[in-house]
Amino acid sequence: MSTLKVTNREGVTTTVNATSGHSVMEIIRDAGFDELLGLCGGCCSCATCHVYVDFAFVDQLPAMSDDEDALLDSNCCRNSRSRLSCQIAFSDDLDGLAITIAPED
Amino acid sequence: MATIDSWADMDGAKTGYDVLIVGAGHAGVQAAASLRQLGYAGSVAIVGEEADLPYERPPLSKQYLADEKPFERIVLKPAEFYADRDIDLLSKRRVVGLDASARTVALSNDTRLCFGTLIWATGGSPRRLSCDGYQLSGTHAIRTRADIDRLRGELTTTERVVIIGGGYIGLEVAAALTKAGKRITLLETQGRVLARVAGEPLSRFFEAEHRAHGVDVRLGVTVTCIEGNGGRVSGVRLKGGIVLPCEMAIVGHRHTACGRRTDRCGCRGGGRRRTGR
Repeated sequence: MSTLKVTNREGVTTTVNATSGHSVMEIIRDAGFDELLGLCGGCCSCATCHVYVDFAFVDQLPAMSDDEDALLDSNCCRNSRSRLSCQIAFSDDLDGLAITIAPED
Repeated sequence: MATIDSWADMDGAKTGYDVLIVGAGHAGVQAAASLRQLGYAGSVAIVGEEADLPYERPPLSKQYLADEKPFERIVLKPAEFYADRDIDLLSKRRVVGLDASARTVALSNDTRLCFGTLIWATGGSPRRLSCDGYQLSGTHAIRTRADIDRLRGELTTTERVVIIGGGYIGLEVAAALTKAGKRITLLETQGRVLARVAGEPLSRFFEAEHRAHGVDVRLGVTVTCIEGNGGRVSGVRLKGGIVLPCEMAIVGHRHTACGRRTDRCGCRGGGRRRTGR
């Protein structure tokens, strides 16, 4: 099974199993990381699933929509690696993807 | 996680909780999760009316209605979450009474529970139409998974849908059902959609988008009744006499807070926030 490397807000990294076809937000949530809120349920209408993506994978991710871009703009902690994890559909090509849960806005 | 269990009878059955959360929606579940995240070690339970694991409501009118996501993918937390964090999920029951001075609630299954702190997180329920015909089959509200399952079950025999209310819910349902090939008429009493929550330019934008996708948007109209035939919806009658024939009517207008009477039970904090130590 493919895996996802999740670094929490304390800086601790854990490797979790990742289901292809699910969003990265769902994978993080289902693995028990309560600090990732995902308040809107993956509808791209809040920014509480904000993560930083490892540079090595930035180019392999699905393109960012205007909505995601606008929501990230309203977030305090955006940087060049910012994504909303609900907008990244996980696939086996992303095996080993490393993300860091962004600070609370 | 070990909890301090001072709430048990002689047989070890739970008689209460240090923190009792009423409402198994987003707020209730997040309150429980945050308590554990912050290291709270007391006993915690969530009381909820529905049978299912607590779930995300926003996708109900979007991906879940459109059958793009199964229920398992819209649950707030997996089942293990509650067991792992020692949070009791008391489903299929409602709080029917509250005595804040005695720190007890009465539940719909004829039991009582004591609490140290009560968190009231029930959210709202859809306002029922007060006009005739609201009880006809084929009339739907959008609030729970069961509401959507019932609605979806009737879609194969539905061609025309009238949606009452041009707020977010009404517009989202209109979009999802248009994509599913249904003919939609959307009714709004105000002069523009999203009148309560958005400025005029945004209202006009959504109105134009919906119209461009084939939704018949009617503004400034008032429903007088839902008409039926053999117990089923056959149309929606507007003030002025026009009847819009349809096989389904969806009521998507304003919610009302559940448990508005908590202020009469001795609760502090605006009546329905919480009471506690």
